[in-house]
Amino acid sequence: MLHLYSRYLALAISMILLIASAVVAAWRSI
Amino acid sequence: MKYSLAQSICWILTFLALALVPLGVGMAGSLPPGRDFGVEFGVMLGFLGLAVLSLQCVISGRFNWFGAGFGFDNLLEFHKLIGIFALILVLAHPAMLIAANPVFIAYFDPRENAPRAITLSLVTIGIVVLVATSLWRKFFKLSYEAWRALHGVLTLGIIFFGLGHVVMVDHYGEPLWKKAAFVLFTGAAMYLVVHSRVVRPWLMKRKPYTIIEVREEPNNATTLVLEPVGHPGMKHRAGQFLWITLGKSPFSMQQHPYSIASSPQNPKIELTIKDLGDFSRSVRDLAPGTPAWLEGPYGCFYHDPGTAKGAVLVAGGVGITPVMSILRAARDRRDPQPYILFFGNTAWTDVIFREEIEAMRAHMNLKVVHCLTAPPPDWPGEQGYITKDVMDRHLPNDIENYAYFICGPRPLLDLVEQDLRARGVPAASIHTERFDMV
Repeated sequence: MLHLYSRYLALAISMILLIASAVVAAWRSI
Repeated sequence: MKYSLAQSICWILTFLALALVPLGVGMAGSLPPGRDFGVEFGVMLGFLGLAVLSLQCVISGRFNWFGAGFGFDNLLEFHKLIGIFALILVLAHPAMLIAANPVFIAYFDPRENAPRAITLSLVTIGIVVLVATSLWRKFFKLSYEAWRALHGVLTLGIIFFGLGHVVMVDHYGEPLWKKAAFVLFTGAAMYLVVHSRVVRPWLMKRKPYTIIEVREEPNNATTLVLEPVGHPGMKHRAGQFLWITLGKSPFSMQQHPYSIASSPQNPKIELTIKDLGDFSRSVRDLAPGTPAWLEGPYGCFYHDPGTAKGAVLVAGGVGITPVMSILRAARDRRDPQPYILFFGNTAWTDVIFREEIEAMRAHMNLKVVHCLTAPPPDWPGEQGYITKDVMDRHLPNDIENYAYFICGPRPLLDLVEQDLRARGVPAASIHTERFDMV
């Protein structure tokens, strides 16, 4: 059932991880 | 096991949490003074890259304890896309650092620190080769076996040297327990590669099979009948698939996935393989008595009769194999449920299992809709592809009460799945299996 959504899921997970890293980097650079 | 929405969300959250473990470890305990955002973001991308690469070993390792309910073809699609993301992270890591502060270019300079520069260069080149050879294997004229060997070696090398890079740079590696945590995380990932490539074949060695019959089928397909040697065989569910290795040793790079066509009630395993490449072409020349090694069963493409009123099966060409297993199982257990089979082929002479499917209709509640794109002149059945109109003519009124199984080429899967979703069939009732996943 997921094969249509695999690419969107991968994209969403990638974006969440990127945002999380950016947040940590922003916290470290304060 | 198939996943509910709640279970799927749990798995996605688990993946996200694991991907953030090295970053979390780096940020735990006492920390060095902070730097510019660009520099810190570059470092975080590096941590993330190492974590995502390590997790690739779990996703692609065919572990029934990780995400099996998504279906391995979906997991492999996800693996491919996340691999591209890992490549972007690993390349963006030095690019971001150098853009934020050009002094970081010295990390690539062997005159400054040879081991650090060599590991960094190896990881960078390695991941480019890893992703490029996976996306364009045929362009590079790599055989499947050579690619598989290269894929394993590069994965191990990149994670190992990536760990070396983290330890050598050592900005977020103090105190010692943090380094130990990095080693543990990446070491576990590397073990999983070794497990799937070495430990698993070694375990398979205890359960050999032999080919007892090689049968020609229509449409350039061949059925291999395999019998367990000295053990009771494999317990599978109708519709699942396995990986087969032929020859005297299970430690071969030549391992291919095929759906099981036989019924679980049959102690022998039957695989029907269409000539689609070098390996599948060679199976017709196999002699009875050839040793074989089977890894599996895998997949969640199976029908649980208790969960639906009946099953609608949609198959294109050799995509009939897992569907045939479902039908044979239903016939063998005298299942009274209604089954509707849509079977797409080019010509009537291409229809694999034609006679057996016809014979099944006498023993079970089975409606068969053959769709031919090149039918004979007096063909009374459906013509062309399995389209929305064809489905309209033959689907029952209470479509939401049925389970759906679609196996065939990608355009067929996409078309039928989208059509069923548009008709209001719940996503959880639609099962798909792609046979071109590797």
